[in-house]
Amino acid sequence: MARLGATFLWWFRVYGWMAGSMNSRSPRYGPVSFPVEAEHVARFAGCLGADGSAVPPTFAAVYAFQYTMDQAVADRELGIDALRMLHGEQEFTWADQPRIGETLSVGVDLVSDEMRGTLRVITLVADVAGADGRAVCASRTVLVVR
Amino acid sequence: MNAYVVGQVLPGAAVTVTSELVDRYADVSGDHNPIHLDENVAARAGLPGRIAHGMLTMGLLGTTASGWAGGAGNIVSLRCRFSRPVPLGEELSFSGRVVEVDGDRVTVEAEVVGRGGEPALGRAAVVFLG
Repeated sequence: MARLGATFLWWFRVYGWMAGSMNSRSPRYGPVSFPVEAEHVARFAGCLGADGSAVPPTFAAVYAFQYTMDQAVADRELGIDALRMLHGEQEFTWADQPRIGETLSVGVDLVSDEMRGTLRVITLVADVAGADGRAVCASRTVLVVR
Repeated sequence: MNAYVVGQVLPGAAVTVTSELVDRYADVSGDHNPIHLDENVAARAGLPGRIAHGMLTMGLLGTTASGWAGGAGNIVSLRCRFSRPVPLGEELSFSGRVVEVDGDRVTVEAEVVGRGGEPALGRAAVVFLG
C-alpha cells in the first residue's frame, strides 16, 4: 500500500512537472504558422523601395508585429479600443533572417500592462522560429492606449 | 575588420509619405486600421488627419539601414520610438551616425526628421554586421 502510494506520488509529481513546463512554454497567443511567400515579400519590399530578392528586415511587421497587434486588439480580457491605440515603440532582434518559402512559427506573450499617468502602456513580445526550429526574430511591441 | 568608424555620418534618402504610399503599405502589411486610411475616423480619434503607419516609417528606415549594412541579411537589430504621428504629405529624411564599432558589429543612431526638422522617430538605432 505504501509502495502504491509512493508510485502515485511519483506520477503526480512527474505529471505536475510536465503540465507546469507545458504551461510555461505555451504563449498567450499562438504559436501560429506564417508562410514566407516570395510574392508577398516582393510586394512588401517594392512598397518600401527595397530589393525584393532578400526579405526586408521589417517584413517582421507582417510576421511578428501584425499578429501581435491583431491578437492584442481581439483579446477581450485586454479590452483595447483600437481607435485610441497608438504604436509607441518597436524593437526587432534577428538571430537569422527568414528564408523565402519557409514557414515560420510565431508565439506572442504579454509582458506588462500598466498605467503611466493617463496612458495605458501594454508591452508584448513575439518569438519567431524558422521551419527548422532555429531562432529567427524576437519582437518587442509597446502599445499606448490614450 | 570593417570600414566603419565611430562618428561617421551615413547618408540616407528622403521619402514623401503620400496617400498612395500609405494605402499601399496597408495592403502589403495587412494593417488596415482606419486611422491610417479614413480621414473622418482619424479626425474622430483626435488626430490631425490620416497618419502614416509607424511601421511604414520604420520600414523605410529598414531599407536605408539595409543599404548601410550591405544587405538586409546583415541587420541584427532595429529599434525606435514613434515620437509623433506623421501626417500625409510630410517628407521624411533618413540619416545615421556610427556610435560604436565592436569587431564586425556596427551600432548606428538613426535620425528620421520631417517638416521643420522635427524628429518622427525617437531613440532609433540599428545594429548590423559590417
